[in-house]
Amino acid sequence: MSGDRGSAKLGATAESLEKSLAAAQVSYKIERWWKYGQPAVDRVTGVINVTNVADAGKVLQQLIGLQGKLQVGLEVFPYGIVNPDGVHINVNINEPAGGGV
Amino acid sequence: MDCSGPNGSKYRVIQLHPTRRCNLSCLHCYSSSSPQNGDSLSPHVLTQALQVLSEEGFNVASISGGEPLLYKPLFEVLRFARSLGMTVTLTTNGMLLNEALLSQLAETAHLLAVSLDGVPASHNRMRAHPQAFEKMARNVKMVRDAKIPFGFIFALTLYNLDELAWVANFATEQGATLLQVHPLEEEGRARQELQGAAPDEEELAHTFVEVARLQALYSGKLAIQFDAADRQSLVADPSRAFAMSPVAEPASLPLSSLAAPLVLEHDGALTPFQYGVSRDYRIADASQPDFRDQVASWKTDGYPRLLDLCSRVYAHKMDPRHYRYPFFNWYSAVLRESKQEQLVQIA
Repeated sequence: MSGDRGSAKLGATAESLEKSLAAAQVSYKIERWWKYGQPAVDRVTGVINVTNVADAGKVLQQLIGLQGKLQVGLEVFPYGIVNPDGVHINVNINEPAGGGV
Repeated sequence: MDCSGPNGSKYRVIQLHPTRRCNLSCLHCYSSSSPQNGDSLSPHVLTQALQVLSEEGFNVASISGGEPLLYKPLFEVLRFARSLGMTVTLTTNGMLLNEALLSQLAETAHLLAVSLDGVPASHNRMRAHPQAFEKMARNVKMVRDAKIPFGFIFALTLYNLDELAWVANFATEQGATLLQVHPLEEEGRARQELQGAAPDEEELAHTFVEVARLQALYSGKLAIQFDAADRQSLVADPSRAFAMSPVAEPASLPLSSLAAPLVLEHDGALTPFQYGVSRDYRIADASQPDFRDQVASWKTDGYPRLLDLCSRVYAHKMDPRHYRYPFFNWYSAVLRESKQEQLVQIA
């Protein structure tokens, strides 16, 4: 396997990366990292971060829309001190993993 | 003290590799599984191990392989894991799924993950099978109809980030709830077949940007998970990477609070974090009758050595002289250090 980098085929460059990264880090966080072959069980039984409270209602509506197809349980609570403007939405599809924080 | 590790403290994962038998011989297979490989664990060994590991606090059983659908006692093991209250996931290439299997999976698995390596031609090339994509895609429709939550796992190489947008669109069209982007591990068959194809840290950074873009695009439809360690979060909490001093009285704590995730390999070896980690760090052998005692002994004998390994990885990978970008593949770094292979330096 060889050839051009995947990023180069997208037109991305090392020079543009710093600016793009800063923007991406505002909207996306890696909360957990899973091993190869281990599906991210938290992403179907887990947390969605909404950093803008104004968007929370829209996201909730989208999740509620899933309920026809899936058993979705929702809990919403504020981030708290670290980010008083944001909310976490806990999403539980079928049975949640037991125990722990 | 409860160390959260890379999966967080809520999810204590045991990954099971009951067999290395597979219908495919994928170029990137880290366990070198194939149709010719008949290695497998007895269901008795697996269920005994699950019993002990459940008592030790593990609450997620993730079945991988080989192709787990070729493991004849699969559903016996899955039902046992469910009876212990574990969340059960299964990773498959999707080619062997049929209605009868899906009806059993609907009762036993909480989440199904299907491997997808890019556009059809790339997928077939990586799978070394001309119809791998066509057969998988046909069967995914049945998964959706069976109402089993499912996702796709995409193996990221140095060369295929440009296919991720197509993969995300395909996943959404199929009704998947998850797309997981995982960096290729150069282990097993990939060590020979794909040498040098693992994404470096610059490509991981580009991938992060692309994942963020796609997550915004598919918000509310598809969760996109990127499996790279974020140095910023490790600075805030080094215990996420087990870079810490041993806790006091580890023998009194459940194994899951000392090390997770764990891997049960096809020969019964219970190892930390990643398939292929040097057996110098093996925790116990599930095929032996004193498995429970071996686990207990490891808490005092092996645990400090594992933390020492993790601290070496942390010191190297978090040294500003050794990196330029925020993300790295922690699992791969631990595996390489366990084998005393040189950690890749980027800067």
